[in-house]
Amino acid sequence: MRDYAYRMEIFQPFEFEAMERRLSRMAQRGYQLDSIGSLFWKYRREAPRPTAYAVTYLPQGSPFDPQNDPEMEALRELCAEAGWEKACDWGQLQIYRTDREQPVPLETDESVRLTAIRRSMRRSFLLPNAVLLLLVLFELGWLFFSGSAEPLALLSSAAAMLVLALLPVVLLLLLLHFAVYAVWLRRSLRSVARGGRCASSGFCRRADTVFLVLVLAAAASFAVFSAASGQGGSASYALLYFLCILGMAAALNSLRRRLSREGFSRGGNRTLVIAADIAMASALTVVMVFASGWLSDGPQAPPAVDAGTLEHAPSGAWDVFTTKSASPLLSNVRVRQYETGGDEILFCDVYDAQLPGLSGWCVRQLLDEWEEPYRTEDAAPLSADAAYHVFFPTGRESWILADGSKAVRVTASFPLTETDLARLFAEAA
Amino acid sequence: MPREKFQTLTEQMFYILLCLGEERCGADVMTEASALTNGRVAVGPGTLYNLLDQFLRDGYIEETKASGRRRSYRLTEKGRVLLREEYDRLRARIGDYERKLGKGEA
Repeated sequence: MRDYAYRMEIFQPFEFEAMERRLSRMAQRGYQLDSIGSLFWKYRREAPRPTAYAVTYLPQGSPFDPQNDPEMEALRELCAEAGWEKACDWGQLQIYRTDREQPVPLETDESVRLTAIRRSMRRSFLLPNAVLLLLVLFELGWLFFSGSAEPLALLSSAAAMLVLALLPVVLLLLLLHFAVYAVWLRRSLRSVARGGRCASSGFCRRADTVFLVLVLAAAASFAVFSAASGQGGSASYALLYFLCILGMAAALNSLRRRLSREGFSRGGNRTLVIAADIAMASALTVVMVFASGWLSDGPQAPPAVDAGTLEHAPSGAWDVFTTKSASPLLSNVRVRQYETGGDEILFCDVYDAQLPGLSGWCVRQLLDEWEEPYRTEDAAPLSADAAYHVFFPTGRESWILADGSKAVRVTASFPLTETDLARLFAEAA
Repeated sequence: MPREKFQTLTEQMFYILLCLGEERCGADVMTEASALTNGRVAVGPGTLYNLLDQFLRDGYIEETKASGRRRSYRLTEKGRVLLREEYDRLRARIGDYERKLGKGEA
């Protein structure tokens, strides 16, 4: 049997009762809390016994404090006198345990407990969550701004859709945390004023667990969809990025704890961890730039229609660049063909809609991008349902052809015949 | 509504201040409070730590010595006044009770 077990435990700092219950239950099952990491709580396997766990707060404490911090030691000394042994600490939360049958509780005055929790929450909950809330709002604003500027790019990117789907959930979750804490505080203030106990709450734990399941399900759907739509490279890139972030968090947490063990001051520990964070983030940026090349979606396939085979195009060699993006709603293939050593070009953008009516919406978005006046053409000879045509002052011409499921934009620097357009539309994929 | 800070004292606050009428370390306060009340009042170490910290910051007690991790405290003049005010408040309540119901009435 393994000596240690790791569990992902999600608690907000004010949910002390839920935490105490959970730890005591784990002890009865033979797992004693050993330490708290950045992602997992580490339990030590021991004989099952009815150990009581209790949480108290050190409002002026910090995760960067040295392990022999005098304040922490003073609390440890008092707790030891009352028969409590320190299990570990988690920011301002100090977790103790005892095997005594009827120990003196760590907290015997609920008004004092409430004051300590409120002071701790200001630093460990309200401030970081407010910063996170601002970041999420900024990211959402940025996404809407870029989405309204380039809606087709947004809708045809699985990663952007994933972020767009998750950010409002994160926003709701953060607001829920604030609301639950506000309700808990109000109930606790009332209860304590009447001589009762601080309120009990485990709501955030349940909500956060549901959120985690949602995130994992969304990430798994993204990976499966990316792989199925021939974008395995994108999924691998996202997975590598996610693993690097997790690795970074674990390494920084390990560094913080090591510095803490070695007695570094709070300021020194914090400075070194921030410096390591910046260095690792810079290294990660470089790695991910290279990774985008290593994890590209394989060799480029030849274009469906070779520009050199079109009636008025030069028949020599053409350079081809293809990019693909897809979401469950819309896929986009962009093929750029350039005459090798010449000036001619042929661009073909294909939007494949997965929802009824989306093709028409794509056509409207593409038409909005044309600043010059365009003409509606007869689409029947092109085997399309709609056709629009525009001439640019540069001498290039562009067509938008569409039916119920796809919209194709073709731009060329040479004249396109009806046969060319019909081929380009029919073979666009 | 929340209690105004130290406007009235909880039982725990009262006994901690009372025990610190003489110089004592934190662990002795826990023992003394329990002994003084025949075990009726137990002061938990978390509560004691936070209250000592608050009393110290507000000047109701002072640290007299620290040997290793063990620190000793003593009531200041400001602390004595606070304790006396609480005592007077309790006496007033007892007086009101006795005037209304008489001594020894339940």
